[in-house]
Amino acid sequence: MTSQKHYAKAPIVEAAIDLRCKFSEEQSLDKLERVRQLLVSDYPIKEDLILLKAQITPSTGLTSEQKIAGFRLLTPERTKIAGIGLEGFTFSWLAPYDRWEALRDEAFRVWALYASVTNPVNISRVGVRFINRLDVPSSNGAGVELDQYLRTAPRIAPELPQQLESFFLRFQILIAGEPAANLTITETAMVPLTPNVVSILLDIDAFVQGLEAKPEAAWQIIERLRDEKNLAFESCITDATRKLIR
Amino acid sequence: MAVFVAAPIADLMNVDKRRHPAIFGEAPSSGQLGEPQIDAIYLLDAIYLGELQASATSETIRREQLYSKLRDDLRLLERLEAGWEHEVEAPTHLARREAERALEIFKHLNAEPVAVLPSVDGGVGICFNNREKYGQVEFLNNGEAHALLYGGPVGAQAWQINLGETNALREAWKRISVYL
Repeated sequence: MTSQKHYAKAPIVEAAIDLRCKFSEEQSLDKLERVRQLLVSDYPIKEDLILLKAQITPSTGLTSEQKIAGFRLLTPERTKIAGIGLEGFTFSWLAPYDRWEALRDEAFRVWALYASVTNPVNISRVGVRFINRLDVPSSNGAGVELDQYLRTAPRIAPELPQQLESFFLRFQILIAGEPAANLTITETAMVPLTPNVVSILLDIDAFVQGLEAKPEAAWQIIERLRDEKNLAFESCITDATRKLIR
Repeated sequence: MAVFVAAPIADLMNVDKRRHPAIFGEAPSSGQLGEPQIDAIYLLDAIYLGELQASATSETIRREQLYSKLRDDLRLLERLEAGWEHEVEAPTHLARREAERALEIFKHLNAEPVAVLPSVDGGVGICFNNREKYGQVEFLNNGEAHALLYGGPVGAQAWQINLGETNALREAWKRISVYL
């Protein structure tokens, strides 16, 4: 277990918990509508989740069809979103972020209602994903040395000019354990919200796939993934970044 | 040592589009896909998920994609010429600028327009939709702005938006959101 730091100006723009499910019987939109009814007071906005199936064959060329694969249920402020699907469940909490306990408890509450109607037998994949936006001051367009704010950052051969106008870095790491987990880290440039700032997206996604876990066990794995995510975040940033978000 | 110097916003957005097709929902290159797939299934808003094995369909990434496309659509309106639709004027710089400003505000409010289109009244329309219900905010060439709601059980509604008021667009979005 890593130490859990709390930052007053946490740069989290989205935190998500995701569970892919196996069911004993096929799910239907009618069932998902029943889930929606249970949540309608807190999540009154409903939008369709569209599945696009595209097929390419030599004889027919490109054909595609769309179908509704579930619903996105949103709070009036659209800052909390429950994705209830025919194959799984996603809960997203957009900025302003509160605390892990608040995210987990609300996600679990909504999940429990989803599960009470859909009756998942097993969980095949769980994930905890946090997307951070680091806004680093950069006066007069001088830019920022990435190494000063990130311990994991693109490295440019010294023979090349060192000024980056944009970048995209993404890698996946296997984390040993039972079950083994994966960590996908993505860093990229974002359009800044204000002048004299450069914005960097730090997307940390910890997940386990190929599971056959009972739902209760899946939520224990989620707690572990949260620790892995925290370790990754703390490992990726420097004290200069901590100072910005403290 | 790599120094990140953000390009001017317009350039950065263009670079973004070329940067990684998985993020911006464009067709992935063969190098990412491997062998051509005969039967590929994607969640429309989850190409990032499919390509990057991300946990969840990220609302943030999806919105970044959406607004990137909307800004592109708005930029394309610069190329419209008068008479693009019968005798309708092309959107002016003023109308496009107001629409661009509105997009930033709508993004901040977590709104999700479905399109940016030229208005047949001369100007730019930002459109919203949820099933059979529609909403749009039009920024006309003369500097006026109007909102229109229709398709819902309550019947059509229209009102003028006073862009001089600080919270005018926020209030307009609140009303559109409730209607949709």
